[in-house]
Amino acid sequence: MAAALLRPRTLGFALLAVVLVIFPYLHGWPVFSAFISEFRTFNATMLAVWLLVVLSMNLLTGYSGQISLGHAAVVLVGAYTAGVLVDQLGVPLPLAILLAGVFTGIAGGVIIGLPAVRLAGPYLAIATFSLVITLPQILKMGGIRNWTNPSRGISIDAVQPPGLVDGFLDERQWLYYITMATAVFMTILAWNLVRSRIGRAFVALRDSEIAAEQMGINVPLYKALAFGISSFYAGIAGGLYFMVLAFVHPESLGFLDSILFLVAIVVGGLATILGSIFGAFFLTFQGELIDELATIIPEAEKLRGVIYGSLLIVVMILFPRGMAGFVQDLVRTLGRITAARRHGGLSSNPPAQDDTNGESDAQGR
Amino acid sequence: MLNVSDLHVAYGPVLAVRGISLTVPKGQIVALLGANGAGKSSTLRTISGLQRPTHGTIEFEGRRIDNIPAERIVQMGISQVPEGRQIFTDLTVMENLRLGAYTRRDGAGIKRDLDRTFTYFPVLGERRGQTAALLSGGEQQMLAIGRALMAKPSLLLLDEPSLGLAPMLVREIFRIVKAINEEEGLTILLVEQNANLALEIANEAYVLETGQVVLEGSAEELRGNEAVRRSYLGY
Amino acid sequence: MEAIGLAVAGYLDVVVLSTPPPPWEDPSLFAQQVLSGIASGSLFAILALAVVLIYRSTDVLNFGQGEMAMFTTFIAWSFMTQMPLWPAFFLTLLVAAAMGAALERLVLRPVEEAPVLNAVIVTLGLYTIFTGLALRVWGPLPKGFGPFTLDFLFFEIDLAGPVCAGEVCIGKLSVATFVAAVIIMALLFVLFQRTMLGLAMRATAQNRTASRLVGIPVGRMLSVGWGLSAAVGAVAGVFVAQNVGLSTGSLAAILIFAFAAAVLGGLDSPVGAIVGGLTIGVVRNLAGTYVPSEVGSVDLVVAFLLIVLVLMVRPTGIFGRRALRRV
Ligand SMILES: Nc1ncnc2c1ncn2[C@@H]1O[C@H](COP(=O)(O)OP(=O)(O)OP(=O)(O)O)[C@@H](O)[C@H]1O
Ligand SMILES: [Mg+2]
Repeated sequence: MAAALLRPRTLGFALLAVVLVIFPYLHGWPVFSAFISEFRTFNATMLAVWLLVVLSMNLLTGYSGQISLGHAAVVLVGAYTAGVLVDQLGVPLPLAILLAGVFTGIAGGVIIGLPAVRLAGPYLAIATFSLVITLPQILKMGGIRNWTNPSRGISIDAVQPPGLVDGFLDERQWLYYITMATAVFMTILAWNLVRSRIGRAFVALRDSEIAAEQMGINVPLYKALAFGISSFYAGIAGGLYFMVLAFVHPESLGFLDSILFLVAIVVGGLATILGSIFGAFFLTFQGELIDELATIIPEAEKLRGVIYGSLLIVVMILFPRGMAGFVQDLVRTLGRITAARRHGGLSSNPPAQDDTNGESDAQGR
Repeated sequence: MLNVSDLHVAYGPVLAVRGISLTVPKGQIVALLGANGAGKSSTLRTISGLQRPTHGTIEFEGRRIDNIPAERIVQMGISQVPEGRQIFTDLTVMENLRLGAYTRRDGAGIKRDLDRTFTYFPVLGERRGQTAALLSGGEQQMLAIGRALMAKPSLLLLDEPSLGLAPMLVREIFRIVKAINEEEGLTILLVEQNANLALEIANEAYVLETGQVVLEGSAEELRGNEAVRRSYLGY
Repeated sequence: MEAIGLAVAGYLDVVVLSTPPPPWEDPSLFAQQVLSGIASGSLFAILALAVVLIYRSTDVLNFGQGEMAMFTTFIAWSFMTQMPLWPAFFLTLLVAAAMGAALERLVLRPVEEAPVLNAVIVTLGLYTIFTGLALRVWGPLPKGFGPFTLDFLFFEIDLAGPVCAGEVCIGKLSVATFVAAVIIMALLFVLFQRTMLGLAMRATAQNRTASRLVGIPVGRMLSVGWGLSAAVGAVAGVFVAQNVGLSTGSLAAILIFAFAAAVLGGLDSPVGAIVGGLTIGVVRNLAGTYVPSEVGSVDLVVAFLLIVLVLMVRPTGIFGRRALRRV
């Protein structure tokens, strides 16, 4: 038992948990203040939001193989649902976020998922593409626009920490904790999901619908389920997005964001949780990275689109398993080296099937 | 005419063919027999240039062809009727046949071969304007053979023409194949699981097991061979 | 993404009356709207033809189609500052074709065997690359682009201005766009149905192994498909830019309509692309006219609904025959 607690993985997770808890205070501590500014707390909060977005996208596209170019629209629906619930109906924000997830999940599963059951890849790509292009116009239409307020969008006052913790936490830190806690919880949930029967069914129907059907998987049901679960994640992410930025507008998220989400899952690694985490880092810091690059190469700022596009293509061609694939290979190689050193090693924990179990890359068909 | 020596083929880690050597003399029908997964199709695919060998050589009419792309090999005179027929289902029968002659530029010759194909397979002539997807399995097999003939090959590779067809139809197709061989002097390398039938029309045969030749000889010898009888002929 | 919404709202729309009379009371308004719908529909049709061409010959849906067209139109613009119209036009077609073929070879060939998702992702990469490059090379300001005067040796046609029959008018440019769409469709029809090259391209899209076995150089066919498509896209760009001016967003803004047109026509049928394009154009215009103004603009919504409707009811479109493959 004690030995299990000392395993590198357990230690790693413990360390990660500690870092996540103390992170918003780090900027005030002596050594760390030198390289962590207070603004990083906001970065970390957005990272949590993007993590859910990337997970949502990865569940759908990476694991289940359903192409979505409209994911920004789904997140936007989540954000707007939360916004309208708070703004028009006075629903408390946490409940509004949860409802946004549920509503988006059901809408995504039924409105997109059920029809999508019949659609092959390219057609689905067109349908979701047209959705993300059209959504802003839908949000501006008569009848709806009284709620969505397209001219100025919906804004709320920044969330205040509750009285209980007042004094220990400022707004920013409070926002960080609730967002990050949600994201961590839902990441663990997703981790379990992809290892469950449902997750394996997703992968099976991605690899071959015909084979999946022969294995007794109810293809339409699981396809709709993939859309539903993914949309639920996107809806929660949208709700949190609204909470963190305290603002939403019909053009808050659009087609280019959809492409960015795609870049995120591809660069991070399709169909892995680890890849989703990398993808979230990418989404959070890509802007800054390019700004940083622009100080070295002045052209970089103007060539943003060229950089994203090239990244997408280069990764797709050379590293179709993304950063996660790279890391997994590295871990596996190291594992093999250590195992070889131990001369055969112990059979209880063969490195090859350690944490890559159930994580499969998109090239698997 | 065709000389394969010490051929090795691998799909990533999977070794499909491990050191096959075989000879196909001009004008003969040579059968390649073996159970599922023995490496028969892999051998044909490699001869056609769809697959690169990992080791070994393939010589056709005295020239090494193991490094030549598939489209050039067709031009050199080797046509394949692939496993599972692989006809162009959305195109018409006529279009399929026209594509068979893709590498040729001799209009008159193409016309002549078209007529010849229709003589061997009259049903293709009747259905020439029809979408290939609407043909029956046997007709599709005939179309696949007809398409390969349209390239005017000197060596025809046939991969399991009996696959999924009723015994009556299979007999009919084998009869035509034999007729083409005799009337045109066309050399044929025939892959079959149905050893019985194959040995009826073949002059020589090779038996493959897990990527290696385990038996070879004239068709008569193999028909008389005890082991072959037991495992492949079923009597 | 604001740019897309604005650009679409900003052109091709005829003046929307506050309360338009129903068609039976003002038939000439109706006729006028149908005609202008056909005009804008011709633009969608040409871009849809480019989409269909790639899909039909390589089985890839090119989301970068609009941006590639925009990019080549900028190239045409640059050429026109150096030389007369016709040489510039044909040189552009050549450059576009070479570019398309090169792209296929360089970035699509490597993902050829991979799942369809990978190819789609690569074309999205092309989308952002071409937008970025055009911004960098030609800047964000719109460029003046036509309408041109076409010099046919013995006579000239000035594309500016309308032709009228009674009260109903249509821009000469629109007529030219329509004619161009029909000519391209006819050429493609002949290519695919009457030539060996076209037949080989169709075969390649369908079954690569079988194509190689009959001796078709598959790689070359894929490159030709992309090259042709890029050239058709360039024509689309040239006409769109004459209608709405040339800027980085002008083609992206109509890509959704081109897709709607292609889907309606069945994605693999040139005739379908034209009919689909005209239908989308007309429906979109009529909706713009007769949907009450309180509802707001609905052009995108119309395209979206048409796409969804077609995909639900008849996923192979009106003219498409091909069964869906490569899920
Ligand atoms: N594309 C491929 N990728 C990986 N392995 C393959 C591939 N094609 C064939 N194999 C493997 O190579 C071996 C030989 O296959 P091959 O198709 O040549 O056999 P065959 O004798 O034609 O069998 P059958 O009678 O079933 O057609 C088999 O073990 C098969 O699983
Ligand atoms: Mg076989």
